[in-house]
Amino acid sequence: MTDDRSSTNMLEVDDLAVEFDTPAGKLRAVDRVSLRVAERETLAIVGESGSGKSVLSRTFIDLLAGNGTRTGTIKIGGRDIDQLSKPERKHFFGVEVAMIFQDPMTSLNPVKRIGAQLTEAMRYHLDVSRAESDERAISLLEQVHIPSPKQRMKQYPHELSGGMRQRVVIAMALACEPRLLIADEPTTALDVTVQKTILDLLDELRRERKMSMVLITHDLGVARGRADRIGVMYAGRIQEMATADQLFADMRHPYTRALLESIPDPSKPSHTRLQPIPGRPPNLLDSPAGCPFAARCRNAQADCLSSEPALSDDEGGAPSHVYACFHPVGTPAGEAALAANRAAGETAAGLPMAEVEGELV
Amino acid sequence: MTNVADQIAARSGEAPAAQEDAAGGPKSQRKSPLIFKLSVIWLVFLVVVTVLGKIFGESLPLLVDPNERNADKIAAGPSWSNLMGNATFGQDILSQVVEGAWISLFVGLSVTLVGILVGGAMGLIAGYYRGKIDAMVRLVINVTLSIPALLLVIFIVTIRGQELFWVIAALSLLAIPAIARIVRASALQVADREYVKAAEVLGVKKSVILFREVLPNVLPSMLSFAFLTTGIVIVVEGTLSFLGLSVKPPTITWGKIIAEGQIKIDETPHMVIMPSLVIFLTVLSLNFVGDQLLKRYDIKEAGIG
Amino acid sequence: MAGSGTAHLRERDDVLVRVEHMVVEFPIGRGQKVHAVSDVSFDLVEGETLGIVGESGCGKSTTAKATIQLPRPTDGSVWFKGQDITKFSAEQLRRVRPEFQMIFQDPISSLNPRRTVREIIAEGLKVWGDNETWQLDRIEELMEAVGIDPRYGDRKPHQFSGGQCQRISIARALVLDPKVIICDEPVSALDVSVQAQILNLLEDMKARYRVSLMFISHDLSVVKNISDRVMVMYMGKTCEIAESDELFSRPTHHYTRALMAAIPGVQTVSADISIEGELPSALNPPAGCRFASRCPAATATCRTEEPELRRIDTEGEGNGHFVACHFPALD
Repeated sequence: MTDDRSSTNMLEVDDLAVEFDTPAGKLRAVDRVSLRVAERETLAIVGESGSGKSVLSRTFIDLLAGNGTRTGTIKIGGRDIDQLSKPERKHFFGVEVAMIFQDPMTSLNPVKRIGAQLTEAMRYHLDVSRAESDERAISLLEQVHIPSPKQRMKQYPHELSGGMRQRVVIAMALACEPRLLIADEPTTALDVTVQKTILDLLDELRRERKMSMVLITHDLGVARGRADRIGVMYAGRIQEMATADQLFADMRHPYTRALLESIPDPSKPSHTRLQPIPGRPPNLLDSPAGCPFAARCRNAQADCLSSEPALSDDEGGAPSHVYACFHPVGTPAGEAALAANRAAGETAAGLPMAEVEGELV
Repeated sequence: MTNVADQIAARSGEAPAAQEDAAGGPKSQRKSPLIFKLSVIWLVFLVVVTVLGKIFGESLPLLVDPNERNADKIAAGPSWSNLMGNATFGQDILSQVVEGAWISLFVGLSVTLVGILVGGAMGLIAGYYRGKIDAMVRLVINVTLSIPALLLVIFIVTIRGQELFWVIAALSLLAIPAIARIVRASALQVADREYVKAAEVLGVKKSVILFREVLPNVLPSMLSFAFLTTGIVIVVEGTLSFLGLSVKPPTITWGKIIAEGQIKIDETPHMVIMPSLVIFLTVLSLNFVGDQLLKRYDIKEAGIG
Repeated sequence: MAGSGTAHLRERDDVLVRVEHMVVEFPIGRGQKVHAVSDVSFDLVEGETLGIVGESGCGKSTTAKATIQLPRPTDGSVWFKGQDITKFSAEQLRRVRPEFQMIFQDPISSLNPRRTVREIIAEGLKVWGDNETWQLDRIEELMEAVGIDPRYGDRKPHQFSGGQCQRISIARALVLDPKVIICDEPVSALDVSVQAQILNLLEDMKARYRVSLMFISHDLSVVKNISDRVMVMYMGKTCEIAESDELFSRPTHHYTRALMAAIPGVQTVSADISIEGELPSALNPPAGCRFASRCPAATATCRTEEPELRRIDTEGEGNGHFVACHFPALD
């Protein structure tokens, strides 16, 4: 996959695959994902549950369940994480790259004071005295806009609200000044007004610290507002990747389109009929041949069922917009496929057109 | 929600959540560990031997009249003709242990049964109906559990007499609050589940909900605790009869055998060891079975939920 | 305590449910109470979907549950068919239950794991009906209506996906032919693409079986899509109530505006409104307007006098747009 970004990529992932050995067989949670995140860039990875986005994000800080195996390379700040020596590893994760998770309540130790948790990472990774780490901790709490930071240092997590706890989690992640921040659904568990303030905070911090960010979310709206580039994941693969503007103005992958059509849009009138995506995501234990979305796709043709499309870009179009589809939306091939399916009354996968665009008629 | 991949990421190594296939049933751990199988075998064996021993007595091989004295074998150690050795007057210890098992098992099971019926009912009602009923039940439980157990039992048995009935009654007073507490905790948890609330919304009567929705889901933890309780009761009864406070002679009990053997322990160690060994194995088996039952239920819960 | 008013209650023949001055307080020991719902009134007309929206702690879920007396509200009345059901005895209440059904947030735990799907759906009939053939047909009909293949009727809940379990819940709720179905965050636990299936299904069932819905959610986009009328709640009080489209095109309460501004990726209000700060304590709610501590337009009046719901659109047209604010943002 060609990328015209500068060579100072903060994150470089090549051909990443993650497989889990389960009692029911081998499960391919992430399937040949490659991506780049430049310095100071935010990449959003959007997907529903089962898309593999969480597994993917955890590989960036080398977290993998016991029964999982990873292949492919991950380079953070130019360093291959599998080539790190033991002493290097100790001070890499949490320092160069840090992660914040969805649920602030389980990210924080309920029986440890906030101050202790903040300074813990600092004292482990950086060579700072106790007094200095305390000072830094207070300064961090100020940067994440927590009022009365000195008092907060002595409090326990349960004494803070959900939004505040997530701010503390962010402060902890930033304690050692990482250059790459992975945020896995950081606001899903929060109220929508709090969500906005947290996302605003992340934006602000990112600009101030010149950090790159990978934002994992199931909410296309969040991705749209906050990311420079968006990657759409389905069945463990990236199906479409583009800048935020490109994606919404010119989407190519039928899954992206189907996703947008199934989400209620507040700018549309009430009782607007939604177009759900029929069926369910494929069973990753027993991946079907061909495109994983074919069974639910409006444009599906015979070739979609037998071979898997590779990521490629528009001929003559922007090289930064790639998608994996033989009959993409908004292209002659795609229009022809759709027309053919409409004429036949069903897709090549045997899905009646009424189910897959019935509500739009 | 086939979020299998995400679930695996979060819970390393465990079996994936229920699959959506016709195979049906979650992929739970179906293999029982060896210890569980051995425990079950021992318990079944014990019960069968005890019951047969009670019915057929000496007609069974290896068993003789437990009271029959044998001058040749006074305080003899284990031998091929007397597998567990002989007692102070030459009685066959094996036969005595089989005879004593009857009392221990009968008391153990009776007390547990009373405990489940009374304590279980108390816990269920308290946990589901809450409010004043719950407050009252909690008070009763706490008060009863605060009284020193053994002293209470000794007191009752001394005052009322060493009849089987009173031994069972006294021990039940200990089992009831313990079981009630466990069942109450479980009932509280189940009552909060949404399908119980859904039944209320449908207009099902509360008493019906108690039996059809709450009880079946409380039963596993109740039964598992019952096994543990039986073990404890057997030990307590053994202690009582060791102290001479359980059923009176000539009824043979395990504790009595131990008490007799203990008098001249250097001459008759086997009189102490043999019944103790049987008690140990029995209680251990009960604990393992109870434990495993609970594990199976938890896995089922996790697999389903 | 000054109430949030009842100006928005309608005098129509087809009003199904009318809640007046509902108060729900939970004692938590040491003489303290959580003020979950403080004087909320609303009504529901036949064939209407009332959306109740708000963030955590606003009392929307408690309001819905208290309407069907689960548990009974601390104070206030709920009028149904001319009677105040808060005054019913336990048995009277049980008899009125078939009229009010409920769908819960977690699709899987709202179904008894030991029952088959058919048994779950039929449960209501077992309580209230006799075992006649036409009733068994009804179960099959409902299963098909909600999109569950009747051939799978003997399977257990864990064999179905979240979306399918929610369909089963809907079928169970419909089996007693209720007048009102309370939907407590029914799509929050589902994937985005499945949400659309369930929302469409609810609209279809509403039309087919002529039920009214009370739809509780924290997701504004979802609420707008499915509701006819929307009520915005904050800390146990009503802030604003209006028809769906009207509320979203003209939000006037500052909290409503902040909510809309917070919808990610969409521009619904012109200004960028962010509200900082924390929710005040639910044990000791502030006097005056409960939103005053975080409101960008709060004045001294707001902190002392509680606002009542007032109509802000033209009298006599439609169901009205009401706002409880001393200085609403009337553009």
